[in-house]
Amino acid sequence: MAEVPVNGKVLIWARTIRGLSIEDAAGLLGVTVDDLHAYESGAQKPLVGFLRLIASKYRVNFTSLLMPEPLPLLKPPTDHRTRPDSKPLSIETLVAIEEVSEALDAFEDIADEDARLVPKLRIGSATLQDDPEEVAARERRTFGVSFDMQRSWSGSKARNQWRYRVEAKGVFTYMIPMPFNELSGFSLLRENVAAICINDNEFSEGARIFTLFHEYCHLLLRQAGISDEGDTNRIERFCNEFAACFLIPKTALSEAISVATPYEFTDNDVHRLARRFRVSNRAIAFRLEKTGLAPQGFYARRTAPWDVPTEPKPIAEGSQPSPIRIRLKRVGRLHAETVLQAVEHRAINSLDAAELIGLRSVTFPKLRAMLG
Amino acid sequence: MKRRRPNPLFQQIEPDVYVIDSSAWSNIDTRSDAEDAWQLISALIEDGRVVACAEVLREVRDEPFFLLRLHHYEVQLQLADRNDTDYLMHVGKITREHQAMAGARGTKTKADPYVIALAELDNYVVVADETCKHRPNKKIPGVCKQRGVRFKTLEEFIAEVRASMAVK
Repeated sequence: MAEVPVNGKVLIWARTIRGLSIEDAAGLLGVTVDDLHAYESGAQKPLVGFLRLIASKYRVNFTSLLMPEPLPLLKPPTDHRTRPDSKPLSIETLVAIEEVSEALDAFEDIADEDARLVPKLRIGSATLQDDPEEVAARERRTFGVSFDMQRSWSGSKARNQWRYRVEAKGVFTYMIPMPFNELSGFSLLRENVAAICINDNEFSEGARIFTLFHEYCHLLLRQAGISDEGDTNRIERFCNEFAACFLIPKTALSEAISVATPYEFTDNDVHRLARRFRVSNRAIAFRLEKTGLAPQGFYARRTAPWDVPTEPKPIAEGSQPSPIRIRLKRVGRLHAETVLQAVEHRAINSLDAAELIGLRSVTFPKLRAMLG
Repeated sequence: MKRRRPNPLFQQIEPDVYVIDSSAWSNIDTRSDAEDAWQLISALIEDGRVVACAEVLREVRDEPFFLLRLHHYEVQLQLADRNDTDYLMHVGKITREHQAMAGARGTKTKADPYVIALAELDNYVVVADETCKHRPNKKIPGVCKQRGVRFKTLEEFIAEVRASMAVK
């Protein structure tokens, strides 16, 4: 195999856009830091096979490693994370952002071909000066979901139902596993298209639903970016309050409580309420304090022991859902439907569609049947 | 790498060689004359007048038509050595100059810059079935036009080879 006269600066660029230090990258590639440095400085030229390994491990386009010059670095989405243990974004998260961003690029292209094929973004707006309780009540009315309806959904059904309703407003939603203690999710907003991505490694369906509405609020504020739902950032705090008010309306919460308030609820009480509202324990604790139903400092006191992160449970062998269902969960219904519509109207070909959905085109009839 | 570098003396008499992109391969079966079109293309492959890059074949490998129509021509179709460094560096140059088409910042390797590099280096004709109405910089026809690479749609290609075969 021949040596390829690549520009070492391009190799540095590829490593940088994936947030890798030279030590991490060398570890991924199974070479020493000195060896990788030699390639990046141009002192040594890599073989084609090694370049293909770099493309695969960095998860970058192979042909971009062959460019004569690197591309300028783009401004990343705003990082709203403020938790004390916040780490730089990992390659998994950066690739997830890239994946969602590529999908939005594709939808912008499809809209250019035929604007009717991509749903219009139909969301309201809010400012940080607004009262999150009022914004949540106003938005909740536009969703048309009664509390009884909300209570009738459980587990993944609740998440799916909320997801469909957010998608009905023209927002693409994704669920991608990312390091679970790094971020809760992110949102991207362009002129005519928007997306929310939930970290699929969040510890419960309730937490995922909370993140969905936290990110939805970022879109209302026109302040998209990366979130950890930390309470020290003003925007994050507003979005937390919005999500809690939206999912746990004050009247419904008061009606569910039969004790004199403010009251120091037990973990069991919190858990019971969380199940009633199909949200996380943390969201209930937050809302109890904010509404004055629990005393000041309740949230911090109660949730401190819950802050110990737990690894998500692996799915038991034999209970794996079908590949179509897995992809549909990842890319969302609106994404899949929009892509299939674009193929039917010949705005894209079946190969582009297969790449966008992440399934072979022969599976499209099954996917269509699943979408109903 | 087998090269057909254009020699001005013979350029006019040597028959064209076509490099077919994934979009065109995947649209052949949507034509009403698909069976006839495949027969024409098979004859051209056997003549060495239709080629494809490994990256294009990788993109269409999972499609039903690949197994049925192209699988047994896989070696004949790939004249280009995918590890030839001149070719690869040219692919890199096209990726840099047409970032949007090549998805230069993306996670997936696209076949489009390979198709154009092959056509540009060997004076082949690109066959693709894409429109470039709205974003010419992202699509093969627009990039071919910018770079002076000869381009045909699937429809034009079929009509042209059908006419040339009728003359024979």
